[in-house]
Amino acid sequence: MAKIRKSKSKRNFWFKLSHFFRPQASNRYRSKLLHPQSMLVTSFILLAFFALFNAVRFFPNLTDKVLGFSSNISTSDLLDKTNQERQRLGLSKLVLNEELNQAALAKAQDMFNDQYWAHVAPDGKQAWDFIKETDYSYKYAGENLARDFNTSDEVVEAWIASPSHYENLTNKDFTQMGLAIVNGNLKGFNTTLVVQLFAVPSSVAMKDQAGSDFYLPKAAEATFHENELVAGEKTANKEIVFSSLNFTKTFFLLVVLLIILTLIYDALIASSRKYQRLVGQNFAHVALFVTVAFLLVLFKGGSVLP
Amino acid sequence: MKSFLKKNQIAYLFLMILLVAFIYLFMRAWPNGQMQRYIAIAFGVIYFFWGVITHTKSKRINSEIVFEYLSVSMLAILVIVLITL
Repeated sequence: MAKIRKSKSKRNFWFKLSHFFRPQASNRYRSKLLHPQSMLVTSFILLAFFALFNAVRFFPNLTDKVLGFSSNISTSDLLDKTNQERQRLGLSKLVLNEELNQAALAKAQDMFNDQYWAHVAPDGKQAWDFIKETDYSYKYAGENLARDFNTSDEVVEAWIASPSHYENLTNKDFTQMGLAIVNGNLKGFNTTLVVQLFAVPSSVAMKDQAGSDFYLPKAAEATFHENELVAGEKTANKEIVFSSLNFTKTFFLLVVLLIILTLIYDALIASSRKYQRLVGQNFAHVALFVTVAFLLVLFKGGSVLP
Repeated sequence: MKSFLKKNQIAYLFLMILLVAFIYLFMRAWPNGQMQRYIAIAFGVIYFFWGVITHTKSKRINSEIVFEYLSVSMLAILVIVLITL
């Protein structure tokens, strides 16, 4: 009796499985997973996963232990890559200035302390106020911000890709630079903030195109992803536990691959059995989801604030 | 399916160009996440209309197919939008 029940439940399982993936009479000759209703359910599952995943930030212990974070960014790499780009354009190399480094570090720490991500602090403190506090006297200055990137390459690539950041990066007037890479928790998310300050010391006689003595280029910001607390370190380098971006990407990719395989299987069975049915074009859907999968794999994270 | 592909060669060529353009524009917009989301939404809407128009032209359309293209487009947009948030 128990054997019969077991074989029945086994049959039920296989029937349900084939109902989901194989076109047959029970699903009107279209894999159940590909029905519009199932697609909507899948969308809700992805949405719920994303919402739950983001809710994890309200449990700091879990975030630190499970969703550790990795970034491999160093001031020397950022300096080298910035100078490589400047040299490519025939511009002078920038040199690191300790006071500007201190100002950049103070800005990054202020963002973590007051939990904001902007050029201007909630209390109205401006970017240049951090420079002034170090007694560094500048003629022109600029600021680039970045967060949520994994490597120095990505940070500089993002700055190069953004016109307003690029303007700062390749400003011929700047001669000195300050850098800070700080790990911490911003609004519930572990992240790495990068602050890059540019300046021309006021002792250097120089005028901008308009002829004024004082000029602050339009501030620019970029975005970043992940990490943990090591405020003030010159390098943010941590073992990966599992970054939140990679975790989300992997889950989404698995769902998209499942849909692609189901579409191919559905098309093959329908074609070999010569089913006459009125449904959407599997080939077009496969092309669309392959594109989505491709973008998921290539997506680097990080973004520039408007 | 093969006959549908043959009959709609131009439509599929258009779709392939769209997909390549989508990949190019999406990658080019990085690191501007907001722009990437706009591109994904625009492409999802275009894909929906592409499906409906192609099926209407070949007279193989019903409400279920419209709903299918709508749900597929929504799912594709959702994946891209969520990953860029």
